[in-house]
This record gives sequence, structure tokens and C-alpha cells, in this order.
Amino acid sequence: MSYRAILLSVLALVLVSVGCEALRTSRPIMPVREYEKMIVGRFDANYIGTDNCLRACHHHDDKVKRDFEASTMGAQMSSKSGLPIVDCESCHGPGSLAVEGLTIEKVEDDRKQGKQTECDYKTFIDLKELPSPAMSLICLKCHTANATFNLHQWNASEHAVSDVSCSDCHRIHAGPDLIVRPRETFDMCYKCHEKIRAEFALPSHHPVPEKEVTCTDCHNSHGGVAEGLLRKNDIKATCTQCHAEKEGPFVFEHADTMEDCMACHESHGTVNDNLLKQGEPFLCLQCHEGHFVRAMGGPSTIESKSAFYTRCTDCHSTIHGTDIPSATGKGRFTQ
Amino acid sequence: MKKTLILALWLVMISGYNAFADDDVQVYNYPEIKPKVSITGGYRFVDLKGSEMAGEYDYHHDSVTFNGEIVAFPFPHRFHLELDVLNKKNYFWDMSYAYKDIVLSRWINRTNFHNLKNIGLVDPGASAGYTVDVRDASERYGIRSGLDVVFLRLKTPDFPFHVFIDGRFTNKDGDRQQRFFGGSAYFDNLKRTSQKSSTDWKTRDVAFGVNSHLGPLEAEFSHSMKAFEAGGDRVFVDYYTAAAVRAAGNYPHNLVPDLKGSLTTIKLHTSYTGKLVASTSLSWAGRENSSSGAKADYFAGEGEIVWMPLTRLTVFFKYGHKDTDAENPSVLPANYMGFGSYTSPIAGVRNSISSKTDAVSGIIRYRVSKGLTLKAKYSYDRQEREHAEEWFMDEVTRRSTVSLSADARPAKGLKLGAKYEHQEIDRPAYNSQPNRADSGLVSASWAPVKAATAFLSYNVKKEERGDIRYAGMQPATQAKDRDATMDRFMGSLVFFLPGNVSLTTSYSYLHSEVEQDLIYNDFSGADQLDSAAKYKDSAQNYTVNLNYAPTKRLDLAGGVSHTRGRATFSPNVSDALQPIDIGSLSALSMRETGYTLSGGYAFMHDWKAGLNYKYNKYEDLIDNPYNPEDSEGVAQVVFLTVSRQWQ
Repeated sequence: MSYRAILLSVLALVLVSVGCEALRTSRPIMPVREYEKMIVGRFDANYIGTDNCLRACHHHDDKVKRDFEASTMGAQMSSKSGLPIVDCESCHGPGSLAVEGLTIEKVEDDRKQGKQTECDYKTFIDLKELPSPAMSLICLKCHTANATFNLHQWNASEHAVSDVSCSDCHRIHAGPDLIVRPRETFDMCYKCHEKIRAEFALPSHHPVPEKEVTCTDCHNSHGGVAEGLLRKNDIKATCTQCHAEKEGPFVFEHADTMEDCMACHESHGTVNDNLLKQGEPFLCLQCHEGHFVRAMGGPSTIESKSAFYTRCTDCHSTIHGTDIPSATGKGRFTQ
Repeated sequence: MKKTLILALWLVMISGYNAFADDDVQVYNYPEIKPKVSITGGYRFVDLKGSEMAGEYDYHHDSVTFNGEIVAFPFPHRFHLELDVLNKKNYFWDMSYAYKDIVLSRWINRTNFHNLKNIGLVDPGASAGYTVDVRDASERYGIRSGLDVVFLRLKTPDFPFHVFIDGRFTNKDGDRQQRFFGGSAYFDNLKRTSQKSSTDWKTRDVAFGVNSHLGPLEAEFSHSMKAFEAGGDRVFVDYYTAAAVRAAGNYPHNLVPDLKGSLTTIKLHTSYTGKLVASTSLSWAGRENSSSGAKADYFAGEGEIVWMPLTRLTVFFKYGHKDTDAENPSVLPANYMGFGSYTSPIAGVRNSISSKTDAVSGIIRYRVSKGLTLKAKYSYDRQEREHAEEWFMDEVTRRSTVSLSADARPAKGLKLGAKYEHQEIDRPAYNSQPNRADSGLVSASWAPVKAATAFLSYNVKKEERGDIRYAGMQPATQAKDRDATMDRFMGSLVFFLPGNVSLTTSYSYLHSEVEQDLIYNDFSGADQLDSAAKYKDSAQNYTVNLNYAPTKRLDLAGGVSHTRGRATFSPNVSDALQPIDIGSLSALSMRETGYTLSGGYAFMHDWKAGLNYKYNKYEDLIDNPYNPEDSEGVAQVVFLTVSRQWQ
């Protein structure tokens, strides 16, 4: 058994023994008292259950009810109690004050007259006015205890820091599953990242506007180790998910530029071919001495200039790294 | 892997005890939900004249199309399938199945086609020293890329313990252009060559993991294995003439090696509902080149702490450490990779660069009022390189960055944002990285009424550098200045007009400029300084989109998009300007215009007919005899569809 497996076993034992006990202890669920008040709802209200909510607001009688019950958060969770663990009041707060004075008969009468029975919605939690961390905590109070995937780095992620909450991307009542569909991410992300849309309109771009590649192929909107909410630990690991042939390692590396693809490329879009930050040969000349601009007795010819200063990669065609030495036996990326 | 499986099963057994402890099971009646089904059939007429760049990501052939979706809830099962087939090179599906909250699975496939350029090589003279060999004059290139993402998660009943498998598979096949340095592959016989390269690349990355919430902590362990297999023309062998540095013979070039590797990750985080929240992630990765034996190992560790002392105040702290340990052979043996032309060992291979990087950052977020949030961030990182002296690079690079930002909502419907960032880099590794950089961003979004929204954004970045040095060379004392500027403007207006009409217009302007001292090699071997050579590129994009639904059954849409891009390189030194300006060889000017029209009409009984038309024109506006590109292309697509929906 390797040291890694021993370490993991010990760690797991400690976590399980401490963790299971800790699950039974009572502790505050919100980081600050104000949030606790904000998201618990009216203290003088009682819980009435989802059925009563849906009876009172008969326009919810169809899609919201159906989608909710079909979701993992609804009926699926209740193998023993017969009641969903998550219901309307889990997020909106207790609803007894909202339906006070309403009867099933009145709701039915209103329905026959084509009217929606109005409840006192002001007694619910005012979700629209919640600060985004509190809004997210409404979801996290369950999802942090459910080992929800992808949320490991949420709390210090750029989205969380920038006051983005779960409901900015996940439309809670839109359908049975809260998963954002891959082809919808483009329009969803643009709502906030308008200037990225402009970059994707450039001549060379990843096919995101064409909906062939999605924002979430490269970014994990729930947070990550690297800056820019990258899906992988660093830029290279993210890019080589699809461009694996360039990952290496190679015998002849391009110094350590290959650790950061952004040294030469922009990921969203550029004016130049191949998402290059600047066009060749200028891109390369920033770091490398240019070949002969002068021949014996005067400037070099059109022929040599055409060979040396059109595209460096015509000859240095293995610029991302190679295992084959150049004619000089060095790593000049010509073979 | 075996040990990991045993450990996972052991955890399942421990955590699952709670699931079977209570026999008092009540019957629960699942709701009945009718399945939703929609099917669309269609035909796509495609017409292309000229360059494929008019539809870079279109497969330019007529095709029958199919789209369908099924959403069904035969409880306790849930099933979803979306399928969209445009043609044999472009299709998509998203399939998921779930059983209660115990099984969750999803399989997404995206396959698309990318047209690639056939760059024409031109020999403008008769010198035997500079020639071209075009072996692919009439070839048309394109690659079909398929990506499959597969996910399977198994959960223990009534306890948050999961076992999961996460797979990512990519396939790329088709033909692309391979350009390479032929002749002698040295300055005494420079033959630029192009030929067709058949591509058949497969990548698989499969991860296995376990995940659980254990009281105050959530823990996840995963192990993945990645492999890249190169098929098709994975290596070329050509005859090279003798050069001053090498004997004539058949030598390999443009090898695409097979690669493999693994990644082990442990993630831990505390409950998000505490005043102090912490998380950490530790990863060990290994990569190996199966063809040459080059290896690299990586360790990445990261920790975060979020402290919320007050409702208004949050402090974020992050620390990260990364180790890169690259190991390449210092000597290539005789008969290297089985190629007999390597008659003796090749020594003196430079050691690849290994490095250690530490990064620390802190953010303070203060909510001054309901409508105003301020943020301050400071970050510092230090990278230390091994073998830097072999590459004439600095051993240590330090970077510190400070930024201040404000987000305000001074009135209903009005959002304002501003950010300023200053960065200092001590001994940056590459000339394209600055010593100092300042950037600013302002943005405004205003929705004065429900029917109109305006958005404006402008950001600018300025970089300075004073210690230019060139790759593989000692510091170049002559060259010392580099200034770069990048600015971007974006504006959009959205109107929702009476009568179910919406109008969206947008304009963007992107510009970047670099002014830098360059150095060219002189025939005499001396450096020739090109002081303040300039590179500039810019692009503008206009779009207008109109949507109109005159009746409940009819919806119409139309759009126009126009993009203009330019790039110029302007050297100053006279030898770079005669007898031809070397900047003219890479000058770029292009224009792309697109129109779309679409309409859909809903018939009785959930039938719907659709007509879509797309026109795209691509123009290369520079006719460069030494660097010819496909000058113009027009792609037109007519797409007819008929749909039916059942629910």
C-alpha cells in the first residue's frame, strides 16, 4: 500500500468519525446574523407545505409544480417521508401569513371566474432585495451538505467575489433540471460579459458564436484553481483538453512559453489567424532576432525577405515543441 | 487503481449504514407527467463560391437535417434526449438519465467541421537558395472535431456519498496543410514546402472519483488518465540536401507524438454556511511523451479562506503553489527513433525549464450601501526557474498587482462599473511581458424603461518595458523600449417595441498597438536595430437584429453583421524597407458581412414550418502577390424545416 493510500485511509477515517457526529450538531447556518434573518423569513409565520402554496396560486398549478416535482430537489428526495425535502418554503420562507384568510372554495371560485387568487406575497422572503451572498446561501445551505459537484471553489471564485448568485445563471422555475444547457451558455454569459461577445466577432475566433464550442468548455462558472474561472488547473491544461497534440512534453521545448498559451494567443478572438495576439512575423520578432535583412553590399532581396518575413511558421512549423532536432542538431522547431 | 476502488467501496459501506437503518418506509405517489416530444426534419441547401472562410465552421454540402427532443419522467426514472443533426460532419446530442437521486448520468456529443486554409507559397525570384515546393496546390482542407463528454454519478441513498466517472473523448480527423522547411533545412538551401497531412487524432481523459460531505467538511478524491494517440500522417520523412551543418539524407520531420499522463486530485472544503469558509485543492499530474521519452511532473496546490466578519465586509485570501518538473533527454542516441540517418548521437540538448511558482492574493469587498460595492485586490507571485541560464533567461520573476474596483447602482435600471489595475513585473521572462502595466475599465448599463436597455463599456491597457532581451542572446543593449496599448469599446442598444418587436443593435471597436525596438541579423553577423517599429491591429463590428411576432403563430427575424479587421507591421530601418517593405508581406485587411432572415409559422395540431436564409461574404482586401490568400468567398444557406410537438 503506497503512502498516498495510507494517508487517504487515515484522512477518510478521521473525516467519517468526526463528520458523522458533526452532522447531528446544531450550529448557525449563515455566516452573519443579518443573513440568517434575511433568509429565514417571518418568524411569526408557519410552514404550510407546497400543496397549499400551489393551491393558492393556481397559475402555478401546472408547469412550476410539474417541473419542481420532477426535479431531483422535489419528489426524488423523499424516499421515506413522502414529502419533498425541498419545497416552496425552503427558499421563499414560511407561507402561512401569505395565505391567511384564503380558502379552497375562494381559490376555486376565482379560478372559475378566470382570476388568480392573490396572496400576500410581501410576507415571503424578499428574494429580489437580498444581497447576492445571501441569495446564494439559500441554495448553499442545502447544497453545501449534499456534496454538490463543482462547488469546491465557489466561495472565493471570481463570480462569488463579483456578487453573482446561483439564480443569475440557474432559472429555478424554468424546468425540471437546473442544469444549464451547453448551447444556452453563450447567450447567458453574454448578459454580463458583453465585451467578450465583441471579441468573438473578430475574424479569428473559437466557434462559440456558432455554438460549436461553449463557454463552459474552458470555464467553470462555479470556480477553479486558476484565474479566469478556468476549468482546469492552468491555461495549458485547459487548452490541451482539445489541443492535446500540443501538450508535450517534448525533447525540444519552446522555453517555458508552452506553459502559458496566452503568451502568443488570445482565447476568444483576434484579428490575426490562429488566434494570434499579433500577426507573424511581428509576434515572433518581439522576442527573437530577425533573419538577414541585409546581404553583402546592401539590403537583402525580395526573395529572401519573402522567405524570412512572411510567416515564421512556414519553416519553424513545430513551434509548439518537437522531438526532432533541426539541421543544426538544436531545437529550432524546423523539423 | 485497485487500492482506490477498495477505499471507495469501504467508504460506501460506512456511509451507507444510515440508508438501511429505518424500516418505516411510507409509500409516496409520484406525480404523473406526460412526456414531451418534438421532432423537426429539414433540408439544408448550401452554396459556396470562393473561399471557405465565408463559412469557416460550415460543412459546405447540402444535407437532410434532423432535430428531436424527448423529455420524459416515468418516475422514479427521468430521461432527456436532445439530438441535432445538420450533416455528417456537424451534429450534437445531449442525453441524460437519472434514477431518483441515486443515479445521474449525462452524455454530450458535439461534432463540428472547421475549414482550414491552404496557404499559397510564392517564390518571387530565381535564386536557387530560396525556393518553394508546393505539393498541395488544389487541396481543400478541413478537420472534423468530435467531443464526447460522459458523466456517471452514483449516490448512496439518503447520505451524500458519491462515486463518479467523468470521461472526455475528442476525435479529430480530416486533412490539413503541413508547411515545413525543406531543401537542406539550413540557410544554404531554403525551400519552403507545403503538402497535405492526413489527421486522425484521438484523446481520452477518464477520471474516477469519490465525493462526500462529512459534517464540517466536503471531500473529493479523483484520479484521471489521459492519452493522446496520433493517427494519420504522424511523421513525415523527406530527403534533405547536404548543408554545412548536416550530411544529406532522409530525415524525419513534423512528428506528432503519442502522449499519456495521469492526474490525481484531492479537494476539501468546509461548509459554506459558516462565518469562516476554507477550501483546498491538491493535484499531482504526470505527462509522458511515448515517442521520445520526455517527461514532466506537476504539482498544484491551492487554498482559499473566506471570512465574513460583517454583512457588509468580506475578506478573501488565496495561496497557490505550483511545481513543474520537466525532464528531457540530454543526448539523442544514434539511430534516434529508428531513423538510420542519425548515424551518431546528438548531444547538447538543452534542459527543459522546470519551475516553482508561489502566488498569494487578498481581496477585500465592502458593501458601502445597497447600491455601492467597493473591492480592493492585491496579488503577488514569484516564479523561480531551473536551467534558466541555458536559455539566457532570468532565474526569478516577481509580479505584484493591485486593483481597485467599484460597482454602483445609483438609480433603478442604472448600473455603473469602474476598475483600475496596476502591475509591476520584476525581470519578466519574455519581451511581450511588461515591466509595468496600467489598465482601466468603465462600463454602464442603463434601462430607463422596460422597453429599452443601453450598454457601454470601454477599457484601456498600457504596458511599458525597458529591459528588452532577445531569446538565446545576452541582453541586447541597443534595444530597450517597448510600449503597448490596447483599448476596446463596446456599445449596444436593445429596444422592445410595441407589437412584439425587438430590435438589438451593437457596435464594438477593438484596437491594439505595440511599439518596440526590434533587432535583425545582418549579413556581417552584427545586430541591426529597428528602433520603435510599430505593429497595429484594429477591428470594428456592427450588428443589427430584429425580431417580430405579428401573430401568435408567426415569428420573423432578420439580422445584419459587418466586421472589418486590419493589421499592419511598420518597420523603420532602411534595410527592412528595401527593395520591399517587410511589413507589406504580412499586412492584413479583411471584411466580412453576414445577413440572416428566418421565419416560423405554427399550424394546427402543434405543427410548425420554418425557413432560414443565411448569406455570408468574406473578403481579403489586400492583393499581396508574395502572400496570396483566398481573396473572396460567398456562402449561402437555405434551411427549410417542419416540426411537430407532442405533450
